[in-house]
Amino acid sequence: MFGQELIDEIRKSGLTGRSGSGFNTADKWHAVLNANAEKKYVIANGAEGEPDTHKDYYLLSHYPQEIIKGIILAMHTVGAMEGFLYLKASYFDRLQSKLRHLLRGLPIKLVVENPGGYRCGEETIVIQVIEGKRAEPQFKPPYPTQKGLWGYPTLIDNVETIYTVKLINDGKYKKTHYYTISGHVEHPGTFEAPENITVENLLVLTDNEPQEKTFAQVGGGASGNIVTDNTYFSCKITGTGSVSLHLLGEAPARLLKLIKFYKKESCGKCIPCREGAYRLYELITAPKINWQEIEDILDTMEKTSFCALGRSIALPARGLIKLAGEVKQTITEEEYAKNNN
Amino acid sequence: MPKITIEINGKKIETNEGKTVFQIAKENGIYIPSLCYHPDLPAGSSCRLCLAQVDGSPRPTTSCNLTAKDGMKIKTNTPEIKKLRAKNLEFIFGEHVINCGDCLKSFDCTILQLAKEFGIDIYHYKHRKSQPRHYTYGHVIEFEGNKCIECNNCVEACKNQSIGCLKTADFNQETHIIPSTESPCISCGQCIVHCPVGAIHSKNNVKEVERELSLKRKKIVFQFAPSVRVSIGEEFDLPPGKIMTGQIITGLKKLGADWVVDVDLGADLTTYAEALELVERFSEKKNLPMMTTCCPSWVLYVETHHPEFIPNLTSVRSPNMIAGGILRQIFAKKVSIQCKDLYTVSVMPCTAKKHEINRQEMWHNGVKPVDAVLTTRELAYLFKKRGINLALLPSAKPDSPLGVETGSGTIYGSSGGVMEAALRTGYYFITGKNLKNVEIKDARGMKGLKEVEVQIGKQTLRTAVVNGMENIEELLVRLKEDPNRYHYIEIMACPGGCIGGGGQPISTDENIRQKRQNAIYEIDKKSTIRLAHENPVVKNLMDNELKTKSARKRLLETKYQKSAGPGIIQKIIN
Repeated sequence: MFGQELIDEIRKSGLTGRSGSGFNTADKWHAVLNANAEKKYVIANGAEGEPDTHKDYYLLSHYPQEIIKGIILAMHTVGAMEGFLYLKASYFDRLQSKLRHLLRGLPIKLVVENPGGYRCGEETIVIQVIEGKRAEPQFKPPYPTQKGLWGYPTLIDNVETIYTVKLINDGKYKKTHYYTISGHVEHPGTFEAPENITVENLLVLTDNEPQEKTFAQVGGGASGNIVTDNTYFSCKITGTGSVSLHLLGEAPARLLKLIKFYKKESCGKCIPCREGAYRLYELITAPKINWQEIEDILDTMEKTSFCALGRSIALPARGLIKLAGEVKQTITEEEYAKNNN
Repeated sequence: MPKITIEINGKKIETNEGKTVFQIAKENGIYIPSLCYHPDLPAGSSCRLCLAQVDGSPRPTTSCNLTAKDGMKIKTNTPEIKKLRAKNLEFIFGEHVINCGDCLKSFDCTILQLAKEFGIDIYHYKHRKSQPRHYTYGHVIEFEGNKCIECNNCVEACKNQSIGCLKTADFNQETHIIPSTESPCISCGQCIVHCPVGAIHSKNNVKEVERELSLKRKKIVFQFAPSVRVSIGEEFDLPPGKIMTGQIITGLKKLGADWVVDVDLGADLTTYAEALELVERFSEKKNLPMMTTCCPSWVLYVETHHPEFIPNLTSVRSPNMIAGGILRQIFAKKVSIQCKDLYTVSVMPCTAKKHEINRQEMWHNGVKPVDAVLTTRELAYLFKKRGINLALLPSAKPDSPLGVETGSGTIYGSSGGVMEAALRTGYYFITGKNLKNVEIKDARGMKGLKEVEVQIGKQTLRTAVVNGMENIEELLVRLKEDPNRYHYIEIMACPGGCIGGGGQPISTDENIRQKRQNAIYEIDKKSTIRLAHENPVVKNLMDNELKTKSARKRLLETKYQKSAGPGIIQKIIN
């Protein structure tokens, strides 16, 4: 099954991108299939930049053949002659010999992100990196489906999305999703569970019910939303499918960690992200914290940053600030160090 | 082209499809603040000031890259947008050190104006660049890391010039612009005219000229280039293309110049000598195509990137260097002073001229023909600093005998001008007659690569005119296909020629360059002398002081050599 038939099947399944953005997969494939160009490309994105998320690694190490077959399926479907398997540097180091062996003779190139980091998973940056350019986001539109790698229509999908399409194609798709559980839990790891599961149900299913007051960051260890335990039962797991649990007292440290992360991961292209993250760090480590100023900066970053990276800090930061306010702790460098060994 | 109707701030606008909201707003007199947007460059959208709220969109978007669609409703001045802009502006001031003392932009600083507009505290955030990198690269370009806001315009401008000697290094707050040694800088200064915050500038010679003006140890003579007269008015809020020849002379006299002369004379001498050489090389078929060398950036480019073309370069000096030599070696004698007691200052539209005057092969016994070069911007700064408003000054005539303004000299300021002037005179040298119509229209205009054919007697002279380094590649391709395609090529590194030079007022774009160019040809049209060989001063010099071959060699000619380009000096300031 491939071509329009497969796309119809994907549409029926209702599959959305598993990178966290949740874009309709059938629409994306359809756009590339219908694009009129002499060349097309397919990229399987295994950059998995969100902290606390390891499901792509799990799939890459357990089902590499299915993923590769999925890439070929995608190439056949949209009419691409060349494919790329794009990996996070640490995954590349660990998996390259195995993957190279499996890719032998196939028109699929194994590429590693450069210089690495959170932003290197953003689709326009993935394209920049493969083209050997500076890892900076590009304007959308044009979307990669219209003008992607070297200006040609490009299908760029998360590794898990491609794996799932392979399952759909084989009639093995059971509406499940891969979830990573980490943090203050008994049994951390990657688990397969039904789509749209709630935090509560996943924790029960994996025997990870917390015994203390906790909060969770759901759907990515950086950009994921902050959820308190009294809403676990109603919170469906979105984004990259990660759940990381933390004790309530860790909120200030997590906030500091979050800000440090964004400060480091900014590509430096636009003013609000580059400067905003720096000033947030300055403010949060000051002896007296100016929360209003922090909120102003978050608002500016959320509304005026160039790409999703700068825009995404506001949601988790606001959640953590609320919790940090509840635990009434000030954050110091030492505390941060203590909480992170 | 299909029409669309959009609404900006409640105002209905009908316009052509395919434009950005920023462009449409500008065309319709709707102000949207911005820093990094430049019509010459692809939108970078890094300053995040040109925000616009599209109806139905969850958050504001930048208007510089927002293509207008039919029926779009846009607001550019909501309270929310104003607040967001103010915050981003505060961020910008955290990167740009307030060090305005000798900043050429200090009289019309874009970011300071914005700060006033938004009423922000420019010291709200402490300047964060603890170890800014300062570079001197090329021969004259200086980069101040602690003023840079990383908008990337200089990198793009350098790429536009097909040089690419600037690049962005590192990420996050460590992002910074660095020069590279792989592709040597040609000092064209296009990075400077595209920098919104004055972080890049050429070596500042204002202080040393001021010093000479106040010390009065020497007699001071200023000479100014053709294109300066049509651009300097912009620095005094006059429209681009306003002809300021007479006002510049009055202004320079006010500053304390003893004499003010016009580089047009140097240009006419260049034309005369170059036309002679062209006729000679054309008839002998020697080292063709002959290439002009009035543009020092182009000369640097040949020496550093394509030394194989060195034999093609004309041996004739640029107007600046010829005029400087004439002033010092001939004019000084005429006014009975020692050549060393004359201080010569050239006002140029060009940053690379600052390097040209230091080329020792053109010095006479260790004496520079020109002591200092001020760019158009630097002169305007000096005027402003001394409280001289050029716009209000009366006009004056240049000092004779060397200061005649001629049409043939003035057109040097525009792309195609050198070619046109040389062809006018070359035609005369070959046929003994003047062209019936001296205006060679094919050589004019903004097109990057123009081809001009002139019928001289039974022969056809095939020429090319290039402006903007980006068009060199195309020229090289054509030359590779057919090395005999052209006999004579004029090349100017900057877009539009000197009127778009790296030393010109910062607010430059295609429209402004066009207006400056129009003014240049306006001057030519009204001139009584439009042929270099009919300039009485040129005739006189050629018949007397420059009669001998050795004198011509000494004052009119030069040579070139292969070079690796200058190094890069990095200065780290704590």
